[in-house]
Amino acid sequence: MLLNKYIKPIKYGDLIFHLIQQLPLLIWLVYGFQLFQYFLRRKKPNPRIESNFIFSILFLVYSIPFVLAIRNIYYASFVDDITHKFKEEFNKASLPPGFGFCMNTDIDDVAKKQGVLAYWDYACSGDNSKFMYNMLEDLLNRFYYINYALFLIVILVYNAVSSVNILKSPFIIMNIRFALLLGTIGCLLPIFHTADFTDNIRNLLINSTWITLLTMNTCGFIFIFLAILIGIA
Amino acid sequence: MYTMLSFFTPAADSGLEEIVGLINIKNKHQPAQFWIQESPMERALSFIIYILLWIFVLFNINNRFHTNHKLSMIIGFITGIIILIIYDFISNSVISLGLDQKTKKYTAMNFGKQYIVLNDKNKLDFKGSNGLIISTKNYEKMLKEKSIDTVSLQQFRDNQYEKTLGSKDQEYPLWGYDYGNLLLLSGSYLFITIITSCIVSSHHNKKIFKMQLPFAVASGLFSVASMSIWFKNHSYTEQTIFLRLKAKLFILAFSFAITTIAVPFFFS
Repeated sequence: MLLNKYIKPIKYGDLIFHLIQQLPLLIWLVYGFQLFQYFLRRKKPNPRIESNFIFSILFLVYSIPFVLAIRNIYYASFVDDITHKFKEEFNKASLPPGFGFCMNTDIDDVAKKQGVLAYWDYACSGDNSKFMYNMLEDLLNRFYYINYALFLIVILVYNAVSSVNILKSPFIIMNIRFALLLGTIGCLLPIFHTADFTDNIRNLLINSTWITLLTMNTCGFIFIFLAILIGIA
Repeated sequence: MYTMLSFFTPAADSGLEEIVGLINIKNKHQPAQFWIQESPMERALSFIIYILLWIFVLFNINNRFHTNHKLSMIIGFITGIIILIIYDFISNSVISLGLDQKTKKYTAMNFGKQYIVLNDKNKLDFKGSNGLIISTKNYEKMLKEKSIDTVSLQQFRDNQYEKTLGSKDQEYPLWGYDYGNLLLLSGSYLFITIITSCIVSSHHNKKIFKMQLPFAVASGLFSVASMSIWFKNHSYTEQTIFLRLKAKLFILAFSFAITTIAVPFFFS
């Protein structure tokens, strides 16, 4: 096909798009390994953690990013957008509601004779840009609120009496370090927001990847709260 | 692995012929954003400046604090370089992506420039808010035949736009200001995050805190202080150049932030 010389469909585009978004889970696996090591190396067994109930809650929180990742890939690549029935679809783009398809290769004969390859709807591109910009802003704010809450907790307990000084707990310190690492990476998001008008898809891909990071940061934050509530030291 | 990278294929290696975008001058939805590719000199200079600023900071840390944690510094420096390479690649070399209404598939394109059509004898039918995509060869042929008169979007923004003050014919043009503001916001969030890390360290190991402090300060300098500078731009091109400069300074700040955050991981 002549058009393939200029505009080429990406094979398995949708599957690749959703798989790339899950790459930050590698950091979560490293974190999981650290958690595992912590529980193995503990010198004093803590009866509160030994209980199956507490351990189940911790495991449930740890699995949230994986569950959401599997859910995303399943709905994007294995469920038909219109009929909502099981259907393998690795090529067709499944995007969030509101995101427009701005290019159209379905052109009339007159335009074809003039050498036109496709139409590009600039109103649609403008809407996509605003959508992506707002999404970027929302994501940044969420990273901020989580890390600001962490900042306040640290300030609050800094000079607290030792019985409530959570900063002496190695488990909490380990979780704070990870949450801060994820928060730091989260702040990098605007850098990859490219300005080229055709790149709204890449912006969506980057935003969606950062959503995975945000989920991980939130789970790290939940771990800190659980550790304080349950008393994991 | 090649398929995983198909969204990030270099345009030059994609085997796709270059295309250009034509926009009608009457189109009221002209893109608010556009990007100008950097020259090889500018690209090389960013890496040199990055390395020089790291040397400057390290030199001062050695003189003032007499302490460092080499492994964290290596991690921070390499992370920064990798991000700078990715930024450079995405901004200058990568293929453009599109979503085709007809096939509902992701498509790859080797997109060149965008042009505003001032006058055309071919009577191209733009159909409302649409722009047209044509091959660069076809565009050059039209120019040669003098059947079309165009100006690049960059030139249009830098000259025509200023004369007409934008009025109703363009999209919201202040994207650059918004983006600059987001970088500052992000910089201040970054600073709060690393300060939290420093507070935690100062609580239970002053040695770690001493190692972190200089990098936290350097990060604050480049993420908050340098992002706050307001450049008065005289053209759209200038605005894009300053934004790029700020983005690269932000990457430098991030590399110091990663150094700060990494230090405690090496201590129990």
